[in-house]
Amino acid sequence: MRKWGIAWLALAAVVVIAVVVLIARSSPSSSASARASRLANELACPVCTGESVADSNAPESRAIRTDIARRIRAGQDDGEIRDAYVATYGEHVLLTPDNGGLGVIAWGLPVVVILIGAGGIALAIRRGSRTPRLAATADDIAIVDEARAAEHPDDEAFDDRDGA
Amino acid sequence: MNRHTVRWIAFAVAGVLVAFGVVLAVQHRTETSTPRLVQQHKAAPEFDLTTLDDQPVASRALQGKTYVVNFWNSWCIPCRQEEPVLQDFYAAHRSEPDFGMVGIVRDDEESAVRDYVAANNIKWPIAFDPDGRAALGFGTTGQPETYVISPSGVAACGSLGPVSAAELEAWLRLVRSGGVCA
Amino acid sequence: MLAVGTAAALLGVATLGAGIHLQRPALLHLARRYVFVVLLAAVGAFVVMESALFAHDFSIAYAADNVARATPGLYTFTAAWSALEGSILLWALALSAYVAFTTWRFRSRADDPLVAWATLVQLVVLGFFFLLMLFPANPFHVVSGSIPADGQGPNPLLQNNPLVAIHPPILYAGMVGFTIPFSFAIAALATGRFGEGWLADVRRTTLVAFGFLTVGLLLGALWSYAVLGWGGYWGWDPVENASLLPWLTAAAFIHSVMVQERRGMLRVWNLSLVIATFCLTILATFLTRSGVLTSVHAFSNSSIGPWLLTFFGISAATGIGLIAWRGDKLRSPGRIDSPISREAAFLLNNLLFAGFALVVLTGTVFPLLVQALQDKDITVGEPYFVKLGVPIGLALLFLMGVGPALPWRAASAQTLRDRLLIPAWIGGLTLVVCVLAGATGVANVLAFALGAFVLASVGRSVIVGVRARRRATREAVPTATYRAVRGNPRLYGGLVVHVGVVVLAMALATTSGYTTKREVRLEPGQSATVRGFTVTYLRTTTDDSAQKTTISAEVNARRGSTDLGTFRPAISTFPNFSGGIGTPAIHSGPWHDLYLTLVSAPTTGKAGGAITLGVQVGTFVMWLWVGGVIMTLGLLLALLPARRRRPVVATAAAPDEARELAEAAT
Repeated sequence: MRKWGIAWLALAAVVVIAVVVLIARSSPSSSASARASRLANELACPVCTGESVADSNAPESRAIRTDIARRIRAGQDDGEIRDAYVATYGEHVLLTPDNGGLGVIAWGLPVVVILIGAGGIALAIRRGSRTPRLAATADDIAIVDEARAAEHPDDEAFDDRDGA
Repeated sequence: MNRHTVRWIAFAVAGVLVAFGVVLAVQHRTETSTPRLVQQHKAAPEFDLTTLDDQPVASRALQGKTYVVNFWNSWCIPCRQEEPVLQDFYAAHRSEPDFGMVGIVRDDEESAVRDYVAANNIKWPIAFDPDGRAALGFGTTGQPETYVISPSGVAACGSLGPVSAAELEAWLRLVRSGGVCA
Repeated sequence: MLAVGTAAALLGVATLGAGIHLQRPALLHLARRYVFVVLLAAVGAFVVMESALFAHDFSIAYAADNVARATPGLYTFTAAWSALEGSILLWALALSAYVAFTTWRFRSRADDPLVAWATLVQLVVLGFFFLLMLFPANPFHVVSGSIPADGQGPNPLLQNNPLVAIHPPILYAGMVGFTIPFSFAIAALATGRFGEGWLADVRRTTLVAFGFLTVGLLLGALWSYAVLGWGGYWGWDPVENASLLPWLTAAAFIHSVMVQERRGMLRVWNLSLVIATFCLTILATFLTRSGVLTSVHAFSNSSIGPWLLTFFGISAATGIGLIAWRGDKLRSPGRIDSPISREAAFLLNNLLFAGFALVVLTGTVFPLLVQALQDKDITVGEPYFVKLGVPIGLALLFLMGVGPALPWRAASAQTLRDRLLIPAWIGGLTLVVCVLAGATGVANVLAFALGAFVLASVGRSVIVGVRARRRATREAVPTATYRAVRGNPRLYGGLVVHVGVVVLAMALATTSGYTTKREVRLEPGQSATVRGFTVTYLRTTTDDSAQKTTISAEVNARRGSTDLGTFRPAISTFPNFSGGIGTPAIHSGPWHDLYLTLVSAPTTGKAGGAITLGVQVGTFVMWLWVGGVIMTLGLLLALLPARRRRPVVATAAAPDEARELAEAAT
């Protein structure tokens, strides 16, 4: 552990503390405007090709933005608001696949494949670093023994051959 | 170690690609001219608006009647094309006590609408939709869109795009007899 | 013309096939001629198309659909690729240029079976695109019925801005270019020569194609931002995603080849990445033109979809089949020795890029899967890609700093300390400074910190390299720097590209995290203030021309006491097309961008009405484009041939890495 050095440990500590502070500070605000902005970014403009309600200038999008603010003021929570628009326009007004049903494939497939890939790489590296690169086979050893014995025919100290 | 790792991975990838190809090949897009609200025969959304003549027009007041809601504006060409059809339809049925008709403007300037209404002598109530709330309630995605609401408050029939006289008459008959469009 | 091209391509394939099989070099030389015939055919067809457009020959359906008499000259020229058939023509033209150049470049090796196979594959692909033009997507299709008096004109979005003249050709030059490395990969598999030879042959072409694709993508982002008026530069539109996919696999390939060059490893990865890149370009073409996905980029539907899908299938099957056939013979005997080594870093790099590509592909294709299985229409938009992609991006940033500093084979703790401790501390301190300054957004701040880490690591590499050279040659710093760079342009070009990527990444963080968007309704003379920028609405003007009618709002902008000038966000309407096209007005500065859009204007006749103005203030937007320019410069640098000059003094006593760098410089 000492080899790792105080410098690295200190850096790790500093980074961890900073990131924790950052996470605490960046937790999604539940103020009305933050919620409105988040919802507008999660809903697709019903008449555009792929733009979100937040980005689009279509009359429907503007109407939805005003409506979101009204619903938040009326006390509806995020889920209710999303459901209301799905009921009106259909599921394609949500910009992300839902978490259940087929949506599992959308969210899960890349993650699973990356994890499997990482596992495969880890295995390959373990195998690679364990295999000694220049391991001598039994034949190699026999050749060396023959040669040594041949070099020094009368000296038993150089003869490692079994039964010789 | 499996001696044919590469081959196995290659076959796995090939399998995924075949599945992918099948998915791509079976794609079909269904075009429909029936609004979603009508497809699901949902309860007609409430609306509470003011006409150009400063009269109130609300869904609550129209309850029990068979009424037509037409979303339009002054610059959309199909809207102009269907306007004479609506004029005749309104003239034929306006005196019936269980009939109602409302035109709601989508995405237009007030002065342009007033000019158009005056120029074409439009007689049925025309209302603006501040903040687009009525349009949002109906789930409109363009104009013109027409909805026929039954006396029980259900979106029974409707169309995305301009309507014909035959369609309007057929819907009115159907809804009055208690039915809904397919 | 088209028939000539197709015939030539097919004859070329046949001749090459025969030549290879029968081992008759004369046939191989003959086949080279066919390549040039194909090029002439493509150029000829393009010239014919342009003349038809400029002559307003409306007997040709393509001209009638895409050019009007009132269309300005520039857009008449670009109409050649504004619609589906023309875009295939442009693709074929670009591809024939690449193939002809490659054939000329390898003219001295025409007898080499590797080159012969590669040319064969190139001609097959060319033949396919010419076939497309002969049958489903004929640009010279004649109008059925009477010849119209005037054409419809290009789509309004495609005659709004001069970028249409450069974005598509450059993008195609990028996508098309990957055919060459693909053909060599297939050749390598077919001939059994899957060592390092084919890599050296394709390195420059891959870099050139990658460079064009990078610039093409950035131009697309610029177009989206400066022209489309929604305030963003990347919409995760299916066609955008489809062109990002080959970029990702190509980037992985460019890095991964270094491992094969140095240690002969990752051969299967490299072959797979190149094949995948090409297949993805065909997939991108398919998605853009088949209509299976709705997109702002989509061309009109035609029957071309099944053709492209089949070709995608054939290419993928050929690649996978060849790899499966060669099987484990492809694997090199080399092994990765240590998890802390450059090989391991590159392997992880491959995984991350491939993972990112998988995220983009899954998100793009998922609606199709749901449509097929549940008959439901869903959308997958930005939140999905950002949630899954940002962690991968941050990991890649980290690798960019660590990778180049890791030695080959294995790293000792001492090496890590020498090379990475200071850059790591610089990154850490940047993190602290940002947090202390009150910044929010975990991903954004991490992007800055990692970016600083990478910049410090790059700086260290440069300093060490220059210092090593100076120790050997006693040159002054500027001369030593210049000579060191000229001695190893590949390394320093790569470092410059990394710097560009860091700038781009930081700009991505700031523009997504710190942008303010507001809509205000203003009467003439009224003002509004957004984040320190005050905008005052003056008046509306209307401009009528044969091409379009434009309503502009004159808006004066100030920042504090500085007057920034008058801006004219506008809405244009074109005859024959419904709906208006908005044009934003942008003030760009090194810190902020002020982005104005006209959301709604009083209709003509009422000049004194109120307007709704969209005001958006973005941070560091300009650095997106600066980062892109830096990346391009780095790529150009990496393309230079190395000037081989040995430093005179032996460096046996120099520390490990300095020696490495000095060796690499020779």
